[in-house]
Formats: sequence, C-alpha cells, structure tokens
Amino acid sequence: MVTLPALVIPAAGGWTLAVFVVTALLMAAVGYCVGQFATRMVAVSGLYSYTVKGLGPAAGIAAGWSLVVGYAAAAMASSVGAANYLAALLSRLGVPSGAVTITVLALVVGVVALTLMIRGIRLSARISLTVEVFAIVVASAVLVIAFGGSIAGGRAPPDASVEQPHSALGFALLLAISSFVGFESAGTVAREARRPFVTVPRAIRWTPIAVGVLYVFAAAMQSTQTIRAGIGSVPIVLTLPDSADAGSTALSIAMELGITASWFACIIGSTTALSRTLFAMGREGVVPEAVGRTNRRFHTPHVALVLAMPVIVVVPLVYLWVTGSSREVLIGLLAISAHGYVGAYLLVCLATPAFLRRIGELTRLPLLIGVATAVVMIAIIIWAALTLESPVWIATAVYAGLLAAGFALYAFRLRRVPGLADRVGVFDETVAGDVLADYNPWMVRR
Amino acid sequence: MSPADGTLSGRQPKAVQSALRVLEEVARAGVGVTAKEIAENLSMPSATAYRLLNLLVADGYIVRLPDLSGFSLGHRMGVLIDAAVAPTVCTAAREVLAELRLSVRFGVHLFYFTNTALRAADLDSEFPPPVDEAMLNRNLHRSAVGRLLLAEKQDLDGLVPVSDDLLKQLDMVRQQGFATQTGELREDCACVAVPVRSPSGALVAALGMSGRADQDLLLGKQIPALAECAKRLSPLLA
Repeated sequence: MVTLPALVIPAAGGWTLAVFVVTALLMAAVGYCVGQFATRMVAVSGLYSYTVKGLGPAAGIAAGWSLVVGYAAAAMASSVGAANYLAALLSRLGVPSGAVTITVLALVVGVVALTLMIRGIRLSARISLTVEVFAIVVASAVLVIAFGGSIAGGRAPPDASVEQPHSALGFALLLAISSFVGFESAGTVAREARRPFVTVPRAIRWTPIAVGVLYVFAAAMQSTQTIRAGIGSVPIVLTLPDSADAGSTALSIAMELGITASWFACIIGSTTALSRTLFAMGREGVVPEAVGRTNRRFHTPHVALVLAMPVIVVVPLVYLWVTGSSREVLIGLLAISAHGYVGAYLLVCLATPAFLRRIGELTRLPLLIGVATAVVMIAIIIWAALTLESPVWIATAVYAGLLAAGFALYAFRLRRVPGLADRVGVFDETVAGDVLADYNPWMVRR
Repeated sequence: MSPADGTLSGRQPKAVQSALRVLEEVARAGVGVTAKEIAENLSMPSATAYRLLNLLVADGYIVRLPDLSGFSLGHRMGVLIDAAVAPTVCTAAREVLAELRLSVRFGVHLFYFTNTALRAADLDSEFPPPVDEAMLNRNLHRSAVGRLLLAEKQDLDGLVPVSDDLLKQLDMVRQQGFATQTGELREDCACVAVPVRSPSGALVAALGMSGRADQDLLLGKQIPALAECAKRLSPLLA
C-alpha cells in the first residue's frame, strides 16, 4: 500500500493521484466483468476458467499463462520487497544490509511461506488477513502522523535509487494496475465458500473500490511529502523525517514492520492463487498430472507449491545479483507481473460479452463495459511499451516470450493428451442434489 | 445486497412480485428453461429477468444447469414444497400402531420427516404427546424425535442453536440408534423415539413414546418393542 505509490510517484510525477483514480475505475470495470462470471459459475481457477467459457480453450490458455506469469512475478517482487524491508529492519540492529543479507532473508521468507501454504488455506488465509489488517492500520497511522507533522528532509536512501523520467505516464498506469491485482482471486476459492454466488461476486465488486480508496489516500499523503521534501524519486524503503528523536524512529520501525508484513501477505496471496491455477491445469492435463496432486494430510496442492516456490525465490535473487539494485528488480518484476494481469484482464473483459451471448443473457451494459475496458487495457500496454525511456519493452518482451513458451507446452500436451481441448477450464458442475427432480418430500437428506 | 440488510423494507413491491413470477415461470417451464425464454414468456425486460434469475440462483431457490444456460428449481424450494404436503398413513401401518398401543400404557406416536422438519402422521388420542407439532419443530434439539432428525444431518446451521452439549447428545443418538428426552420439552414429560428407515437407509419417520417424567426408566424398557414395531412399519411407510 505504501511502497507501490512510492514506486509510481517518480514515474507519474504530479499525475500520481489521477493515475490511481483512473486505475481504480478501470479495475472496478474489470471487477464488474469478472462478477458477471462469478454470479453464474463456480470455478477453481478463476479468470482462466472464465475465459475458456467465453472465448474457448486457446484464449483460455493465454489467460491461464498470463495469470501464472502475473502471480509468479508478483510473488517474486513480494519476496524481494519483504527481504528488503526485513534487511532495513535488521540494519537498525547493526546487521549490514547488502545483497548477501537480502539473499538469506529471501530464502527464509520463502521457506516460511511455503510451510504455511502447505499447512492449508485456512491457516494461511487467517494469517494473511491479520497481517494485512495490521499493515494497513500501521501504514495509515504513520502516513497521517508523518503528514501532520512538519517534514524537514529525508534520510539518505539505503538503496541507490535510479532517476526516473517524469513523463512515463503509461508505465505509471501499468505499475498502478499491478497494485490492484489479486482482487479477482476471490473466484479461486469459490468452491470452498458456503454461498459462492453471493459472497464471491460481492468480494470482487467491492475490493477494487476499497483498495482504490486506500491507494489514493496513500498516494496523496506521500506525494505531498515528496514534493515538500523536494526529493525527485522515492527509494523503495520509504524515507521518513529522521530528526533523531525516538518518536520518529519508532514510527519508521512500525512502518517497516507493517510493510514487511504486507509484502509477506502478498507472497502468500499470489502463490496460493498461482498454485491453484497450476493445480487446475494439472488436473486438466495442460501441465503434467503430478502438478494436480494434493497433499494427503492437508489437502493442499503441495506439488504445485513445491515446484513454484524455489522459482519464486531464486529468480529475483539472480536478477538482484546481476543488477545490484533492489529497486530495479522490484520495478522490473512488477512490470512483468502487470503485463500478465493486464493480459488476463483484457481476455476476461472480452470473454464477458462472448460468454453472456453464448448462454443467451447478453445485455447492453456488460457489452459496453467489457469492450471499453479491453480497449483501454490495450491502449495502456501500447502506451507503456512505447515509453522508451523506461525499459518497459523488456518486460513486454519477457511476457511475450513466457506466453509463447506456455503455448508451446500446450501444443506439445495437445498432441500427447487426447481430448485435452475439451477438458481445458473445468468448473464445478451443479451437483445432482441441488436440482429438484424426482423430489421426495418424505425423507431426511444428509 | 440481500433483503436481510434491512435496506429493502418491503417498499419495492414490483421487484418482489417480478422475482416470484420468475420463480413461478421456472417451475412451470420445467428443467432446462433458458433466461431468454423466461423473459419472453413473462414479457419482462431481459436485463431485469437476468438480474432476478441471478439473485434467485445466489440464494439457492433455482439452480443453473451445467450447460450454464438452463435453469431448474433449487434445493431452497424444497422447504416450500415440504410445507405443502400432508402426511397420509396407510391402514396396515395404523393396525401395527394400534397393536402396540394396546400393549402399553404410554402414548405411541408416529411422525414423518421432511428434509428439515417433522410432521405428526398418527398421534395417540388417549395419551396425547406433550406438545404440538409446531412447538416440536421449534424445539427439535430438545425433543426425542427432533434429535433423531438432527443426528441424521451433517450440517446443523440454520436448524437449531448448536452447542457442544447437543453435539455430544447427537453422537449418542447415532451410536445407540434411539433418542430420549426427560423434562426438557415440558417439565413433567419424558419421551423416547426410534427411527423408521426406508430399505435404502434414509430416515423417513420416527416412532415416539411419551409418558410422565418419573416414568423415564419404564419408557427406556420399551425401546426394544418400539424398535421391533419400527421394523414392521418400514416396508409400509417407505
């Protein structure tokens, strides 16, 4: 909540607030489209299954791999973020904060997250909720206090920050989108929900709006600060006035704790969604069946988790060792992640009218919102990729490459697994007990 | 938002009427009717019909078939159907009951079960049951026949207030195959009840025996006779 505005501010300059408002509206529109599906079907793999229902298996595969890329890159960015903030915390205790410390911390964070997730969704959901609430409360309090107090200057950033051009608005939009992602993953737990057609659409409809309000608030607080403090770019570890008094230090520590916690929650959220999508693909045969196996004791997709977690931890570390700048790694990963999400959102927005038409329930509003949102998404991607000053095109290329690899795998599996195209995007079908046919009133059903 | 939020307050009669008409049309048109057909049959704006259908699906009154375009009545409608059916007991079953009544000085009652409630099918007129049917249905967790119903259910949410005590009692009912109650429903009354099951094992009825609270031990001794009678009733009821 705090870090992303800090990353967006240098790219958007004075437009930061507008960027977040626009993104919030855009995400609310995506939420509307996803809601059209969520009120009509229950799907384990969320957007992936939805797209299949609207546009067929090929588009579904594209959406599925886009999501995998999006979730994975978001989890990677979060592990870097968590490790960085932990390092900043430890540096207060005298531990030198360098690439080595960050590497060790990232590994620790990865192992803890993996253990929690294999133990089961119930535990991890409760923990991430607690952590998230803690983070939001702390961050809001600190921002308000910092805003209210007089701001003199900034502490020297612990990381060498790269000067960003102030005109990369398209890129700023893309980054801002990545701060909203994940709201649609409520759909992936629909099978466990008691009344999925009520709770899931409600969550999907309100989350982008609530998150949007939070971000606009955080961005407003920080941009005022930045402007007054006269710093051109904000480092990823937020700078607070360091006038050496105990109150301010406590504030910084509270803030760093909050942000670390929220990065950690983000790892858990992204990886859970990632493992569920991989799990569904394994079940259908899009990826090898072993990925679709669940742990016998905790009933979690442990194979998918164990496969994904090392990649999530190691890739950003390699990236970090190569570039040497956490900020660059974070922005690069978030850009890739945003590409994945925008790709998947784009497809699901297009799938909405197609799906509604297929089941004969198309009206004007979903058609309008679906198509308009898709057009805006395409515009943002092109705009961001054309902003040559920031290296977004690299992220675009990486995303395109990963997507192509996904399709290659699909083509390969298509030949090996007969009838795969029909199995893509399975969803929970109505169980016989739900339909009232041959109904006998005189008996007790368990 | 659901009406439970208190935002509706019954001031949108049109919406309520339309929703009920949609429900009626799904029932009339039969399994697999599509949203478009419903809107056409009711000459209702399609956007309205679709919204109402999705609301009804969300609450379980209707369900979407696996092809996602067809609809059918859902499990929540079962409650309405159950309330409308009347229990009938065949003569052969009445004779079995009459035989048992002659042999004991307690009230012998036959109750049928619907999915979530019990219905008085044949009550003893000489020794009437301690409370009436409506009272029993409000106190399923306090009555012997009610506990038979609850012991059959995996999910008690919305039926009765769940407590650890109750769960323990229901476990006992499952193990023993009968349920008892002393002074819980009415201070001066005690009951025992045994299940009547269909050949496939589904719980369809309960045979209950009621007496004074101080007779609970004597009632307990009647359980084998009750179970025997329940076995004879099973083919006659299911």
